[in-house]
Amino acid sequence: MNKVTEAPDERVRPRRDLEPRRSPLAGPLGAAAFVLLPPLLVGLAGVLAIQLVISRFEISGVVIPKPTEVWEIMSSDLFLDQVGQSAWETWKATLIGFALGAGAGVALGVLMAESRTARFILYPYVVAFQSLPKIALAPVCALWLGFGLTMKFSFAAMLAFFPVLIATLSALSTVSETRLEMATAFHAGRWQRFRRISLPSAVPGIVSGLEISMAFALIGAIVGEFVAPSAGGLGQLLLTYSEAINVAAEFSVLVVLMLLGVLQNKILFGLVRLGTRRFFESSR
Amino acid sequence: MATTGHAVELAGLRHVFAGRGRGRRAVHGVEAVKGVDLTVEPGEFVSIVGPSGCGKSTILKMIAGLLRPAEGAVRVWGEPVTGPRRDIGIALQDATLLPWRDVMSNCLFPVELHGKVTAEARERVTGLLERAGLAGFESRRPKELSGGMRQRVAICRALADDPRLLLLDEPFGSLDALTREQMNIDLNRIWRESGKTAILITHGIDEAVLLSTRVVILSERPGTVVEVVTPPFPKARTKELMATPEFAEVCGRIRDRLFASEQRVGG
Amino acid sequence: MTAPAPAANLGAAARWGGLVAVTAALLLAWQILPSDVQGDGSSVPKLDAVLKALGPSGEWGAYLKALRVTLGEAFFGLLIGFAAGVVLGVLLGESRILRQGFYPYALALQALPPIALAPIFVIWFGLGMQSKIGLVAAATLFPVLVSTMAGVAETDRGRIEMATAFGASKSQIRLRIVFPGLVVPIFSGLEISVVLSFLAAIAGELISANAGIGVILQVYQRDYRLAEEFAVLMILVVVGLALALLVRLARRLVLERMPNE
Repeated sequence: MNKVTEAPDERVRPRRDLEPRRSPLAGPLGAAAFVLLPPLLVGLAGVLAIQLVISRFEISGVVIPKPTEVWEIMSSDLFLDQVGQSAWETWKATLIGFALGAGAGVALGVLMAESRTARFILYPYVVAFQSLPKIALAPVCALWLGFGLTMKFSFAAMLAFFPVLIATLSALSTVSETRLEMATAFHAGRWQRFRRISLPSAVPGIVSGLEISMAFALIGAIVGEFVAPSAGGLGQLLLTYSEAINVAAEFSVLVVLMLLGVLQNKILFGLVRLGTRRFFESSR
Repeated sequence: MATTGHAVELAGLRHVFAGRGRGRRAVHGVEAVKGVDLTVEPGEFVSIVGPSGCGKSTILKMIAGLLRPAEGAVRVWGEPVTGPRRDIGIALQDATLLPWRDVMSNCLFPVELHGKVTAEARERVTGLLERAGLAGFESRRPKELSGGMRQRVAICRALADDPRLLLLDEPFGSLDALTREQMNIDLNRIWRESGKTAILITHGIDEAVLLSTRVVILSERPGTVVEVVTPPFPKARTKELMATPEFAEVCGRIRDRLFASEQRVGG
Repeated sequence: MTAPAPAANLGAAARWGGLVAVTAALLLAWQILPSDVQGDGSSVPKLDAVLKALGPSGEWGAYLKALRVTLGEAFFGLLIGFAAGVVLGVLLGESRILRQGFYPYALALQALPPIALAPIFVIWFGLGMQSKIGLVAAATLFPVLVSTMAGVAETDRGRIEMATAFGASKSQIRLRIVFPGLVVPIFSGLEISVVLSFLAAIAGELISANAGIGVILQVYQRDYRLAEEFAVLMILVVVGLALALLVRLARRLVLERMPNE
């Protein structure tokens, strides 16, 4: 029988014209080179230029340290020991704070999205807290919670809390009405609508919220270390080097901090997005 | 449950969309349908046609239990409708497939809502997909399908939990004319083979005549039944039927009736 | 389903009642609960003390002077960061080579918490406003840069094709198609940056400064003058709300003149 297998339209086939233009060098190796080469060249040229300019014009190391100097510090065993320890301390506070803050944020976001009464009562407080630059609470936090890990992760949790709360609330309240109506027509109860329609639809929004929260948790941990004089971690290390006017060492710490940021904000969340990618697909 | 009696009964149905706000910015209530009486017998395919905004979809939503009528009664299989029912399958203008599920799992969605997904249900869905020309697409995601394929998945989903009543709200409204014609022939076959009762909302006169055992014509807002036409064709419909003078004659009659009601309201 | 009107009114009344009750309970608890939380002097100031610090006898001279410094830093830093962000964003958006070469670094720098730059800016620019302006500029640069660049890259192909079909030159396309389409994306980047500017200024002051909100917050904390500390926090809430309102108004104006679709 002649079945109506209408050919899948062109959306089904990979669109060659949408892929990056063909590289001058053919093959996968060539393509990789095409992607990697420009940033590598820019990086090399930049480092070389800074090094030359500094040596040529004898610019003080206080302004900008020579790349070679930064590299020397970064490859010394003492620095690696110290920075490894500090980075772990900072990240520990970040992770605990993120887990607490983001967990509470998702929970409250769900509550406020699902209950009109809760939303009405809590909304004014959320808005007020949202508009307070929460960094300003660091001194009070230090006073109440001391100068150790507790203060750091609590502060990180507070910074991580709001982005994910707002993201969860807005993602859950913009779920497609027709999708919900479809489920209702199939006799879905309230819990089923939430579990099978709202929550999956909100995954992209919640993941973006978590991503921002993670970055904020790191900021929280660093600021906590800046404000609390004995909290340890990378923030404390930065202050120590700053007092010694050791700019090269500060740059080295910043590089490590940047790597930490890339690891958690880009690589970790790249994996999370990869794991949840089916929720990011649109129905069209 | 006994299947004696009518599949669907609408009696004196009236619905008003509530106004919003007060004072200058108030939006007045709109009377969508008024005094609609209709009975649908088991195994029938009834289309409801009418100008846009005549409350066609409102009637369907009231049968589906998504809207409560302001006045009048809706009964499905003799029971007053108080909310959505398990024995109703529905397909909307927008396919509303869930993008994170594959075709099979989208079709099983109602089954899942109503209980456990059994091997029997899987088999039934596989059969439905096959009949809809979607065999082999079970593990594709919606975004990999064309618009027509998505609508066919939506119809399979509507039939997945073996409902006794199928409600279709312009399911092919967003498709091009050619695809739409093909879909109609498919739908006719699926309906015949399944023996379900079906109600279709559409503004396509050809579509209504091609598919239905009866066509209900609604007037402009507030919608009310102006006439019921019974196309005198056998159950199995073909493309060739559409080229016959009889087909054109029935379509012409409905078209005239629709225009007449529009002029009466407008003039 | 359309809910009958009386029930809706009842629901609204219950919600308002709930809000008032919760607020009253919170304020009352704040006033009468013992304030020495851990018994070691780390206390919460009483409600009436905070209100007094916010009253006419409060240190308004100090509050306002600090606020002026902080807002000034935020404003000038934002100005610099915004201008640099737009220029770099257009450059990176327009040139494929530049984008490929620099974007990975932009992404990496974005992953660095900008506040960590504060100690370095202090070395470079001292304890005054300049170091905070630099920090704010560094913090506000990236949101504007990223959204501008995305705006350039996502210019509607159809519009460019249309203009090309009418014989528009490259610079005409840039001026009449690409740039007008950037207003909305640039503005959404600016929205994020406004919030960040205030935050970065305070953070910079907390770390080292000679004036500003961050400084008086630390002074009041060190001197155990928690009523004043809380008063400043309350003022920050109001200022934050005012900023948010301003941004919302600006957004409405922008969207009215430059509809997105």
